[in-house]
Amino acid sequence: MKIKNFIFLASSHNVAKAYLAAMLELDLIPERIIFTEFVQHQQPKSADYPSKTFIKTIHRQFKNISPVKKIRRLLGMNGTTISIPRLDGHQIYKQVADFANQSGLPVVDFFTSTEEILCRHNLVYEKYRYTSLNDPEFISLISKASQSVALYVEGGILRKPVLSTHVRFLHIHPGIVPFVRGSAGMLWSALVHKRVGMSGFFMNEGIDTGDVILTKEYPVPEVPISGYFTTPQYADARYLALEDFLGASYRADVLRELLRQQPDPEQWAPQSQDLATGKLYFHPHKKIRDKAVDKFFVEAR
Amino acid sequence: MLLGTQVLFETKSLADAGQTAEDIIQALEERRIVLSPDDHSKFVERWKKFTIELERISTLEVIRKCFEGLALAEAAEQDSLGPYMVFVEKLLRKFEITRNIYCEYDVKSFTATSKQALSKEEYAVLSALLFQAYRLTQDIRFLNAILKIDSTSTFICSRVDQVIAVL
Repeated sequence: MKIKNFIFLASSHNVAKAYLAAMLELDLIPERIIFTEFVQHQQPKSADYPSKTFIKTIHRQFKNISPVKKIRRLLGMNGTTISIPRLDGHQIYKQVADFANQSGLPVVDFFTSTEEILCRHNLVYEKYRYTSLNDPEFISLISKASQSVALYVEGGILRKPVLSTHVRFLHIHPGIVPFVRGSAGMLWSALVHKRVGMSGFFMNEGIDTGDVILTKEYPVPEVPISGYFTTPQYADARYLALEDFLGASYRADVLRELLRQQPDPEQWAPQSQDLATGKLYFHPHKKIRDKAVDKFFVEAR
Repeated sequence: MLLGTQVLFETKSLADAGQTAEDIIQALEERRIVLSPDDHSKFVERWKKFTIELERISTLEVIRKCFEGLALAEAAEQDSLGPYMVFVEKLLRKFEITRNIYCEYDVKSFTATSKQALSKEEYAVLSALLFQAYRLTQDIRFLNAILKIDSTSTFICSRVDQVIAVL
C-alpha cells in the first residue's frame, strides 16, 4: 500500500535504511522517493576529479619527505593517527546492529547500501545531488511536488525558503521535546533523564521546536559488547555505533509506530510544544560524551 | 592553568569572603558567607537598573554581576535565579554555537557589538560563573561548556572532574 502524499527523502545514511525497513515491514511504500547525495558546497556537482585545492593540499603534504615516509603515509602507517583499525570499529558496529535487530525494533540491513535495498524491493526513486536541502534546486523540485509531507533524514538545518514551501518535513529527533532539544539527544537523555526518548515532529525554523506528532520513551538499553571493545581507545567507535546504528533503529521504531497508528500523514494531529520548558543541548565534550556512551554498554560474557 | 579569577564584588559581605570567584564558591560550599539583611535586595535593584538602562553591555560586567547575583541568591537562600540565569543561558548558547564570547553585546538582540573576544582571564571568570550556575541548577550543560573553555582555573577544573566522575 502506498503512503499517500508522502515523500521519503532517502540518502546513504543508516537512518534512511532504518526508515525504509520500518515502512517495508508495514508493507507501506512512500508515494515518492527522492534519493539525495549531498555534495560539498564548492565542489562542482558533475566533477569526479579532485579540485586544484585538493591537489595542492596533497602536494604540500608529500613535499620534502623521504620516499619511505611517503609510502608509510600513503599506507596510513604514520604513527599515532591510526590507533583504531577500521575493522575493529566495524566489529563494534556489527555487535550494536545485531543487538538493535534483536530488540524488537525494525530489523535493518545496515550493511547494504540504501540504493541496493531500494533496488532489491523494486522501489522506483529519483536521484539528485544537492549541497543541502536548502539548495535552490531542491527547493524548486519540492515546490512542484504534489505531496505535502516529506520524511527528513539529513541535509542540514532547514532554512526559511525550504520551510516556506507547501511541504512539511517530518523529523524524528532522538530526545523527548521540548525537554531534550539540540545535539546528541540520545546521550543527553540517557545521562539526564535515565531514559532514551524519541520525538516525531514537523520541522520549523527553530532548533527542534516544531509541532509534535508522536513521542516514545525506552529504558536505556544494555548493549553487550566484547570486553576488548569497552576500553577507552574504542570510545569513538562506541559513540558512532550508538548514533548511527542503535539511534537509527529507535528512530525507525517511532516511524513504524506513527504509521501503524495512522498511515495517512494528512490525518496526523501535531501539537505545539511548550517552549518555556525544556532545554537546548549542545554537542557533548568528550569526557561527558564517553560517560553517557558507557551507560549503554555492558561487557558481554 | 589559573589559580583563581579576581573579581571586584560590589557587596561588602562577598568582598570580605574573598577576592576571587573561586574563594566565593569555596565560602558558599562551606556556608561561610554572612549577608546583611538587605544585601540581596539592594543588588537586585542595581541589577534591574543595569539591565534596563543600557543598550549595549560589557560582557565581563555581565559575567561579574551574574556571578555576584547567583552567589547572593545562594547565600540568601533565594530560589529566584531567573534574571541572572537568562543571561547565563544566553552566554552559554553564544559560546556553544560560536565558540567565542565577545567583549560587548547588544542587550536586546544579544549580537556582538565588538570584535574583541574575551581574554583568557575573562574566560576563566566565565567558567566560574558557569560552575556557580551548575551548583544552583545541577544542569550538566554548564559543565559541558566549562570543559570546552581552555583557561579554566585549576579549582574549577578539579570540581568539574569530581562531578563528572560520579555521573
